[in-house]
Amino acid sequence: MKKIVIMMLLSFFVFSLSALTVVEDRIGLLSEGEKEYVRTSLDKASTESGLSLGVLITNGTDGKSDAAFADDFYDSVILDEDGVLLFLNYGERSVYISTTGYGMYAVDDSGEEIVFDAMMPSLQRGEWAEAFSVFAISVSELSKEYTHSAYENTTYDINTGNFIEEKSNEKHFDWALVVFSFLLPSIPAGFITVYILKKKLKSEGLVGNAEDYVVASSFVLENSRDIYLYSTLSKVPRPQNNGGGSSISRSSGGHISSSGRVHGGGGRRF
Amino acid sequence: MVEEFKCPNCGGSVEFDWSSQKMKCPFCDTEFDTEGLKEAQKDSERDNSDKASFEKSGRMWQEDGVRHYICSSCGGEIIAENTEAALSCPWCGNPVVLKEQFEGELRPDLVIPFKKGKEEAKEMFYKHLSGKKLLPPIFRDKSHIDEIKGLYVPVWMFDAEIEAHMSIPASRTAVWSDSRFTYTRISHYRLVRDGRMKVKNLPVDGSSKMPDSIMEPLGPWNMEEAVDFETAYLSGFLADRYDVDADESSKRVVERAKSSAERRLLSTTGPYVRGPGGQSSVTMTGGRERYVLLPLWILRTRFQDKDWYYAMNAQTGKLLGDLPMDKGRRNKYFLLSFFSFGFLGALISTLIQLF
Repeated sequence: MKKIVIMMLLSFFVFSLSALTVVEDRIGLLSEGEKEYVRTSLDKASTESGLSLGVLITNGTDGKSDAAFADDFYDSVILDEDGVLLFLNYGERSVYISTTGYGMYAVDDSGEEIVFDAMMPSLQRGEWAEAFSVFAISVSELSKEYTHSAYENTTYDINTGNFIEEKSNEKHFDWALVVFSFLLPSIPAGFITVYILKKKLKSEGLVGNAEDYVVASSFVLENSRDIYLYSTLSKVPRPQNNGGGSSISRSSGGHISSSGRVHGGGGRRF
Repeated sequence: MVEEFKCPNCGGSVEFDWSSQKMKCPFCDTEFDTEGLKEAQKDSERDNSDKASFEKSGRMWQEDGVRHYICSSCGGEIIAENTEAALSCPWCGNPVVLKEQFEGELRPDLVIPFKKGKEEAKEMFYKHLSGKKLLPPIFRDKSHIDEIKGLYVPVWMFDAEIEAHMSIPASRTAVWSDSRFTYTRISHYRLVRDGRMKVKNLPVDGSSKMPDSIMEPLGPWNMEEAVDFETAYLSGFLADRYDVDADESSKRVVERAKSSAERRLLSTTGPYVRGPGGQSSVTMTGGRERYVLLPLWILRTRFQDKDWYYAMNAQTGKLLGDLPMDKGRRNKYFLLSFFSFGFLGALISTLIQLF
């Protein structure tokens, strides 16, 4: 039993440490110092996000699309099931982000746009190292907002590109909820009880109406007019049905790479 | 003039007896019909009027705020407030009715005689104490009634037709949808309603000494049991004459009737949702007021150096009056409720989480 626990713990640590960072510059775009700077940024972001992060720089794609080239590089070099790769096709002046696993959740379609928007000024100025650093920081920030624990409660639907929230069958006991459930009824109940009991000690005061003295059936409505004044019209968009299920707001257009792994991603020119 | 009712048999002071609804001599226990006793009294007074020794009986003179009378039984001086109309002689204890307080316009049209006696008033008082969890136990166990007085309170009974008008801001809401939007149309209206209704025997306190907050909730009164006023009904009780006139009292009729009329008019607004604001007014027409004396038992008990007063409708037995509170018991019930509901909430929360 001990062995199993130790094995599990070890595999957990190995898994935790398996996130890696790769900087592959095939055209010498970055100086050694810049590479180090980029690697440091990626390491830091990788540690914070738990994602494997990579930067690939080439001058072409050997006839492949940016997406296929980036996916194949990821599947052959980085391998990790949760990761994000930034591919810079210098010749085409395009950038492409390839994501997989948790990377697809943290950097979904909208996240890719955020990353590209953040990087674009640096890319356009040719400040490559700065652009890659911005990439790393952006991924790290997105992972803080869209956490791994939230990702674990979802399943990815490749047909719709949506992450569907799962109903967790796992129950955990929440003591805070118990305390809250104690206080929620008890305080008003205490005051209401005392109020009711105190009210019994007080006699009724002035009687504000004449109900006891109105002659039965003596009320006659003599005039009844409903005068129309004006109208106001408001309209609100209806929520669109996107196929049912409790999909959450994360969506990432997914595809299957040549190695059979599900990848998300998107690109932009600069 | 003071008026006393003397027993034709023994000469003792005769009082109104609520259990038999007749006049009764407490000395020889003889019961008299109210009308019969009054006739006998007149005869007796006619006989006595020839005798000089009775000339000074029942003299009256007035100073600021008080009147002085001479008791016709013992000759003692009786000092009464201007509004007091029936009281007891402080010297001989005989019940005395001050006749001029009921003469001319001051004469009540009707009186509801006492239907409930002193014992029933005490019984109702102790019943009033039951079920009051915050009442100090010592008040319940050791309280005794220090004083109990039968009192006729002057009121104005109004019959009137109430014409009411309301102008009510209101709206109706329609909601519909197409494939893209949900639309909400709110149509605003002004609803105008006029109506009338009748109120009958609506009492308004005619005594400034008696708080309205006691007299109003003590109602309603069964006017079927009211009888034409005779001073004989006051014998043995305290009574005041009115000092708030009918015109002044009619304002309260309008206030109370307005609320009931508004309620009826608002019930005709159908599917509209009432908005804030609006105006209403009522006019009282065809009003008729009658001056009526209503019977009350006033009970007094003393607790922790404070007098606590209770009033009972001596026709229906309805009793009112604030009771003292035990702060220790208040805290106890607060905590009891606090923990009971708290544990219940916690238990439900626990069970939901476990299963």
